[in-house]
Amino acid sequence: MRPILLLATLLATIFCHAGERTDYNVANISPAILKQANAVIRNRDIKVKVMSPTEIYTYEKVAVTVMDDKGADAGRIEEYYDKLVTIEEIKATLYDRAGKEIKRAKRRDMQDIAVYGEGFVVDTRYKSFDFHYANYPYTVEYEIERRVSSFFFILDWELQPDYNCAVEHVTLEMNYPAGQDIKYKLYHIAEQPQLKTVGEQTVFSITVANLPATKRDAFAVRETYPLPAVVFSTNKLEMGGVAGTMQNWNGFGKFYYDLNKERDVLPEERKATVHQLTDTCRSAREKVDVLYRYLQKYTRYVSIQLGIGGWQTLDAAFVSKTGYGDCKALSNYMMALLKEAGIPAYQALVYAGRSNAVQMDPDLASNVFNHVILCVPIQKDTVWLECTSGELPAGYLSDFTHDRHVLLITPSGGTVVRTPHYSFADNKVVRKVQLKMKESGELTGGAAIMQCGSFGYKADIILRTGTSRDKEKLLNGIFNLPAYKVEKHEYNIQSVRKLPTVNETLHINGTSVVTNSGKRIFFDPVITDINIATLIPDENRVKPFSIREGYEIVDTTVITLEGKYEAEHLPKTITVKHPFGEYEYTPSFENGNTLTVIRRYRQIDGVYQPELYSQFVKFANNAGRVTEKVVLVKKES
Amino acid sequence: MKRFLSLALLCVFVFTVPSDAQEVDNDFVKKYIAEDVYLSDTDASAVVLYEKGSIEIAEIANRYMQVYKVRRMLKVLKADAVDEANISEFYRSTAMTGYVSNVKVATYNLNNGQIVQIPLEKSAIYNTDLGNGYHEFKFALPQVKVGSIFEYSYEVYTAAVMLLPSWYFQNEYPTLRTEYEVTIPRGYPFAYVTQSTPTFKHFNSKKEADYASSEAYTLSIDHPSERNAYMLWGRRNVPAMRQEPHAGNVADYAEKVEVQIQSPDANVSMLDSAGLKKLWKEYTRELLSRKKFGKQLEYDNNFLDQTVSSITAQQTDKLANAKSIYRYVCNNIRCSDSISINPQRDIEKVFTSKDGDAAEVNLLLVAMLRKAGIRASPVILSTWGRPKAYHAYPMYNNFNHTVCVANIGGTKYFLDASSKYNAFGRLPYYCYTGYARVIDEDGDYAIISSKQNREKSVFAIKVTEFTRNSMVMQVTQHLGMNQSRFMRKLLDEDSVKLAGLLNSRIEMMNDGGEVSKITIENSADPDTNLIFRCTISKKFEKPFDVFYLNADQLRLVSTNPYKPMKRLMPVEMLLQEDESYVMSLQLPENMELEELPKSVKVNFEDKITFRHLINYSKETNFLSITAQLKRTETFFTPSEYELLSQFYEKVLTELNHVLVLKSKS
Repeated sequence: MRPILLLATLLATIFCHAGERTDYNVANISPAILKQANAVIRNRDIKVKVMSPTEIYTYEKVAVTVMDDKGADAGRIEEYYDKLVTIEEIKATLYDRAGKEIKRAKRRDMQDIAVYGEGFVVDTRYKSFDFHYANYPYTVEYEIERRVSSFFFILDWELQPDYNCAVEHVTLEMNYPAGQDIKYKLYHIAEQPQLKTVGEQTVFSITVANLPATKRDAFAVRETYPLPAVVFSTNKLEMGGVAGTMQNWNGFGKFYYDLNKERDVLPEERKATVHQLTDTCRSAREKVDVLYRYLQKYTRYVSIQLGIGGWQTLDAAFVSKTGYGDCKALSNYMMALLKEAGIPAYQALVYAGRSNAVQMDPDLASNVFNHVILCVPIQKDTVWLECTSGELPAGYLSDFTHDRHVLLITPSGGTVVRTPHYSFADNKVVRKVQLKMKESGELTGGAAIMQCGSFGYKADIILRTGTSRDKEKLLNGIFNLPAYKVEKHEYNIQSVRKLPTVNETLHINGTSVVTNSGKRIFFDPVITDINIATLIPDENRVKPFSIREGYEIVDTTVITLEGKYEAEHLPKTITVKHPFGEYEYTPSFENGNTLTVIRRYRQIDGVYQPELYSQFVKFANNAGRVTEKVVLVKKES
Repeated sequence: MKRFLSLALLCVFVFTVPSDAQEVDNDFVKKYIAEDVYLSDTDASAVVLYEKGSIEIAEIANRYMQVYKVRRMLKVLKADAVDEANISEFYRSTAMTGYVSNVKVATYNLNNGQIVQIPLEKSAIYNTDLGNGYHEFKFALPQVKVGSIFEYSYEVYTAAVMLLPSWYFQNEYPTLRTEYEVTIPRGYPFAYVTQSTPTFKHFNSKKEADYASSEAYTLSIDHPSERNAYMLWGRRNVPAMRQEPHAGNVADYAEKVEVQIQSPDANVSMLDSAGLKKLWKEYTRELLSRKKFGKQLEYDNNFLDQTVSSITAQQTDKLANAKSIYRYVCNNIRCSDSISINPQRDIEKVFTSKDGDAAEVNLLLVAMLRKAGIRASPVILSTWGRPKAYHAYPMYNNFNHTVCVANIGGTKYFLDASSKYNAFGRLPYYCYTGYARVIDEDGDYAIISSKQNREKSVFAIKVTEFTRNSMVMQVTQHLGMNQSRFMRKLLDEDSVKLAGLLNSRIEMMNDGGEVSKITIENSADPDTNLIFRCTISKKFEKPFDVFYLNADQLRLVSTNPYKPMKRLMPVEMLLQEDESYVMSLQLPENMELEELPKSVKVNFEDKITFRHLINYSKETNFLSITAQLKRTETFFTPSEYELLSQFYEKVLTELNHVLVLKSKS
């Protein structure tokens, strides 16, 4: 038999498609799950057959009803594949609202497109097809058979694909040999699976029904799987000829270590460079700093993910020769440089990202990573290194990777640790402004500004590497004045308590917004911005909310006026204190000519109960918004 | 060597390491390798030392192919230019045509005073089939860092002959020398359009041009005895041009040349206005002849009969019919891509499936309007953010979107049915970019400029109750049509979010009042302005003796959007604006206005006007405030930028009126 026929026969034997649901009449969808739903999974039948750790077949038959144009994406087919996960068969059928078949599409009707923009070179592709049908609602049913070369790629199954997509019925069945020990964990699923033994096979099956559509909350607490999912782990895993286990994080780490070991050999020339740079260093920390700067100067980030290259790093000799690599390769290279200098370091797998980061589950090892950083444990200190960045100082991690669990990869296995957390005390801006102002509004004076943590990092990048236009924009954004010119600007950049810290002094001439009525002058007392984004209220908040970044901004502004005045009206002092934030605003007027405004805004990171959300919104939207002007009456001279 | 060559012919890529010093201009490298700043532009992250592009239409293996050659040498001065060493090139490839050849790559670094050359491994060149006939080849030059010089060259062979790549002399880095040449068989006339600051000076030979000190030079060879026509353009010392804020696409202003092959019928020497008109007619005719573009509009299209008849059954007025048909298409045909010019499906398929991209949807609209006896034609234009289309020569690449024009009663209505939120007779903001072409037998042009995109909004506050203890205000906001479009979309997509945003905005404006009775009118009719209304009620902490009323509740101008900066590009705006704020209140009987600020008017010539008028009648104790910011100009030259900045500065300093109300003595 020809190989392709043999495969087709095998697949037909593996997957029996009896007893499938095919009634797609839209009228039969339960109204209870339709609320907020732009699409509905009518049925999803998932069958997984594990022949061995490196030979797995999956079959899926999915029927999705697209309710309106907002759900149109759910009706478009986009199925990914690469060298490790191949598509053996794919076909689709279109049904109208009554469930009547309208059209079919075969594999040859579908476009085959390369993934673009996910890295410099990737070999991932996808099958794409759109029925171009817009008589809502309609149903698209498609079947897809895959061959998967490692259990690693079929560990997690998200049963509800998106927030605005309801699910009528989904079944997941996994059939595996007795010797393959598979654990599972359910996320947001009330139903329990069934496990039964059939000959020498074990069959895991679970059916979930009637999942309503839901919505994504702002400031959601990070979860591993925020929507219903089933996740597996196993004692037998293999990829790229390397076998391992993934029953716990230690096993996962060992597997990753084995997949990537012995790829840290430096060429002799590079070894010599390491010694040249570090033999005269006085401490391990100094060696780390020197070698990190060397890495930043002589390498750059280029992502090449081919075949197993998504998980197995390019070796250190490659990076040494070319001067580039992805996060794995650059971290591995840095690790090799440190090793040559006698400093042990470990790669750490992380899910990197700012607002949408996924949280590792300490109880179940699963493939939730998309990035690699480096951990250098020095006595009484741990230095974290982001090896893809040319700007970050050694030891500081930005919001891309800070404050989350990561998996440290060591020769004996994986260990779950946490990256540094930066609180409001670490992310700070302190501004001290002293100005002299005339009745016309003309002002002159200076400011001393300290920024550290995330603020320091952003300012550091612009001041060190930005163009003159970038710097101009930075300086023009400090004060909220109609016009001003920075006459002098000096700064220094340091690392204080491992935080990027920028200290600036500047001298300005400008104009404030002053209304002079003859008898009185009115002006806005606040000339610096806090820049808090407008938040949307959510009166029906049910889930807790999470503030990930704490920070504090402290402004002290002293304006000395020409002439003598009496304060007819000063904005009132404001003091607001909540568990999630504090705001103080204290204006005062003394000596007939000196206005002092002290303002402090503090956002406190943490997880808070949903009942506090509307207060948080009000707090953030109102804090820093000063509408009351200062009203001064001129004294007769 | 022979064996290597024969193997090379079988490979997609041929990679040659520069075998000796002659292939690399070592003097050039030596001269610049140690430089760490470009004195003429200290902001520059890199300098293009030399680049050359060439196009040759050559006969290869019995077919005409386009051979595109590129050579570029770059000096890296700062870290953010290191990624310029990641090279990629797209090309079309169908069947056996389309391949890359003769890739040469080198990085040069200074190492202990010696120039070290680093080659590229053959295996580090990647070629990807993107699908739909497109390929991409790419490579990353090795060991590029601050201070490196790198160079590369390659040749791309494709079958496409009409659309030639544009060549930009100017980009985000300063360029010491850049050249572009074309070699085209004399049977294929071509036209070109250049855009440059110095005028190109003509030379008779390359040698002369090389020795001359001209900043811009050109030479051409077009002799009847020659097989090919040849042209070259060169520029020296080209300054960088970087995208600036408040501007369109930097490519509109960058120096460049565009070349296009014409059909053998066109006589390119006839570039007077009659000749130009003839060329545009040719261009239009070509589009009209395409089956999935203009040709299908000539058919009877009987599949539309029933639908058009039912839409227009109750009315005979052409304008009313046009509106009904337009609204039918907007609401019933899903548009998968809101900007397009290249329809893939005919209008019958689009009509049956109720799905199409913007070109397909608007062509269907044209067909339906014609079916109803209304004169309608497709219009092609270039959308905001792309290089603009211009009249100098019909260039296919200039246009990227298709809309419709309907002629009714002597008035032209431009229509875009790609979104149900688009109003009749108003295009989405990104279509107002100037030059457009009507695709009909007359083949005329149209100007759809941002000045035709007028945005008028009014924010009104009527104080209905005002005592020493409390105040109640009725707020009404008439949004302009562009904002209405945006808000309607948001209302549909996330009404909760919209309500939240409105609420927050009003709360931020009013400082402590309670907001109630929020209503939104006209949400279902995209042809009208959206109107928001609400009531704000405030109770004062204690009865006041002195009341400070901020005369600028809305803050028409709250910051200066045009901070001081050196400007090379003009300021371009998407629309004309007319924003008004009106407040009226009856003062309590025992209160009077102690200070009445004077009215303010600030002008920037006749292009922008700001007025702030305060009227108070002592007899009736009635106060009214009107503020208006009206901008009729949408284009400001670089030299006007400073004046623009000063205008807003003046408005901000003048606009801070606080009215003082006091108890009557």
